[in-house]
Amino acid sequence: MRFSTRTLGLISLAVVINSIGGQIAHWFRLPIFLDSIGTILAAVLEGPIVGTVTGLISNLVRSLLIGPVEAAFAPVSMMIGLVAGLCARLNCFKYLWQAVLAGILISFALTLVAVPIQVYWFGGATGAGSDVIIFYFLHVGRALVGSVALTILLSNIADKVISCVAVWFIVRQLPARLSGVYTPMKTRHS
Amino acid sequence: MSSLLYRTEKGWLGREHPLTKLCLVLWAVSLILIVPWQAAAVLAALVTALGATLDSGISWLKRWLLALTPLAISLFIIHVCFLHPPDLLWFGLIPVSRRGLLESVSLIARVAFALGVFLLFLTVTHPSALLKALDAKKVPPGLSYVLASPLLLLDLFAERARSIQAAQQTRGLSLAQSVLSRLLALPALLVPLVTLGLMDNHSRSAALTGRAFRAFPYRTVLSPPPDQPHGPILRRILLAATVLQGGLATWLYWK
Amino acid sequence: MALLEIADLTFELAGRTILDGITLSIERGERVAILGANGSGKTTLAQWLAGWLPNVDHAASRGKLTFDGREWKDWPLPQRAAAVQLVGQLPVQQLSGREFTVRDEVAFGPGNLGLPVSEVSATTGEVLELCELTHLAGRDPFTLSGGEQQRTVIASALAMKPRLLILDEPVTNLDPSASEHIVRLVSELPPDITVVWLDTSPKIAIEFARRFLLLRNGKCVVDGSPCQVLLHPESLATITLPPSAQAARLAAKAGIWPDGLPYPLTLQEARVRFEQVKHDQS
Repeated sequence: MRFSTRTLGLISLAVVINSIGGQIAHWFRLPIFLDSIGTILAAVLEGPIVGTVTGLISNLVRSLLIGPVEAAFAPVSMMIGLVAGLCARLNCFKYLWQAVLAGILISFALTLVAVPIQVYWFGGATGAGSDVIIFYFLHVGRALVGSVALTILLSNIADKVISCVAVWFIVRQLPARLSGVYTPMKTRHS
Repeated sequence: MSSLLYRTEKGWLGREHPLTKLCLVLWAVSLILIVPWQAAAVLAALVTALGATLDSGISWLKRWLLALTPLAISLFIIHVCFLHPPDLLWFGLIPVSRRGLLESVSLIARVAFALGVFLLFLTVTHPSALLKALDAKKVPPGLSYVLASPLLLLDLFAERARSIQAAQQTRGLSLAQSVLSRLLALPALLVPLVTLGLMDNHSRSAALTGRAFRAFPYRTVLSPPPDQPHGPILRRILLAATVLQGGLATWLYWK
Repeated sequence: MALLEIADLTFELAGRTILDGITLSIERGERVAILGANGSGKTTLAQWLAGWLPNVDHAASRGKLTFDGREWKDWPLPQRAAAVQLVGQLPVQQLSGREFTVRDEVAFGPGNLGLPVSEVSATTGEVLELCELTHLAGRDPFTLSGGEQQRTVIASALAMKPRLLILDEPVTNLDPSASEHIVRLVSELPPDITVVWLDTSPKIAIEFARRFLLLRNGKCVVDGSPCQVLLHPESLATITLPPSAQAARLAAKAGIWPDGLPYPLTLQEARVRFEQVKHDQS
């Protein structure tokens, strides 16, 4: 399968938006990551395959900037792109409530992928602040897998819902001459 | 491009072909899946010694410690204090598990080695060299494009985001309000940023096509990284070893 | 056969007619300036001239454009890229986003054609020198100033050795010094390169263009020599005249400028004609 040059450019743009998403969240002093907003945007505009590839490239590029742990979690970003793209294909980014639901779905799907990576490759830790939440769940008697799963879900659900709602809003505001050239959008307008 | 992990390296590691270095990383990461943790610890120590010989050794060491330390601390706490019943009292006070201690040391040794090797690769290999190497080996140009483009556009977009935010603030956007207000203010930055980005992409993709991008399945590369005489055979050996090691790790896991 | 021929080209976008029955031909080696106000269809026409249109999303509603006797759809991409190049207004949108140095950016296009390394290297070196970029060859293109970026884009276009170079308002966003650099570069291009310069004002194109066209609402309303076009009533109503012509126009309003004496379009013409007026008056 061969992506058009415009699609390759969209993937690059999405990766850049992911990379500065964290900075933007910091400026706005919001307790979210915003590091998948570009992946979700690419998935909504061009579908699940582009979304999946965007997730992969995003983590590979981040590993060049932040460190190699990002590369290990590439399957998580790919899952985000895949689920967001599937939701868009099923026309589930049309209304606000659908975007919220998509965010929740994405959170559950990414948890399924992230848990095995974090538990079996990294022994349950990431070195991030959210590890403290894992300590808490372990302390109250949960198993490692359950603690990691709950932590990942809880730390991602707000971020993914907000990211999906933001993408829903952005896409609605785009001029037709920009959004109309992208495939799922074409399906919606026709 | 100030944000890369790369630092100029004049030593032998810097001169080695980027694809050979990549194959070395893949081989090393697959190796730790099958060796005992003691061997991983020795390998991690060797990587540290190698890193120390680099021109950019201090930079590498700082990055390695920054990445490893919080991870090691978390691993230690999880495995020593929580996962297994305590059977030892440290300093007569802290209940810890001997088994957890062994597990955490094993994990830390493996992660330290993998992290160290990968960071070493990123420190001595500029992305442009790696991408030129891929192009020179006739990898589809689209792949190197999606890896290079974000690195080149990142500073531009960050600057753009700062300008948009400053402009919105002069129009009354305040970041001193409640979380909800700040959340609702996000689109004021994101919508113009994304719209401008898509417009750029529209124009740039036409310009790329105008310059025959992907007219052929491969491109001519100016000044590709030079390959050492041992390069091609070494890469084949490393890749074969990686596959064997990966297979062995999978077999051992299922066994 | 003309290098480029357009016959009754009509193009619509989102229900609006952008180009309306454009008919013109451009010969090899011509230096043409196409003037028009914002929204007159210049950029769309530039994209048609460069083969960026038609594409998978857009086609003409009527008419056709041929380059060397063939429509763009009959040109394979590598041949088209080697035949015509377009330089637009915003250099940052035209940098490839793939290359980390100016040298590699300029070599990007010839590299895409799969040319031998020696040829790509030689062409790149020549073009860097022509565009005064040799001292910037190792720089990241995205860290250059606007003028330097635009020279890099022009260099990248010239590296393809096009037969037709189209420049769509290439100096609008540049300061006077950078703008001068670009104009000098374009003026000194080899005569076998056909140049089409699109702009809102003739101030720069008057230095090198021998043929002008005026575009209004997607139609070509005047086509001829600088004098014929710039002093045409349609032009006087639409575009800003060169400063020398503006001064003569003011003089005419004040009753000083003789009837029938054409307004000067360049500094040299202004020197001669104002001297003549002064002499006649004394």
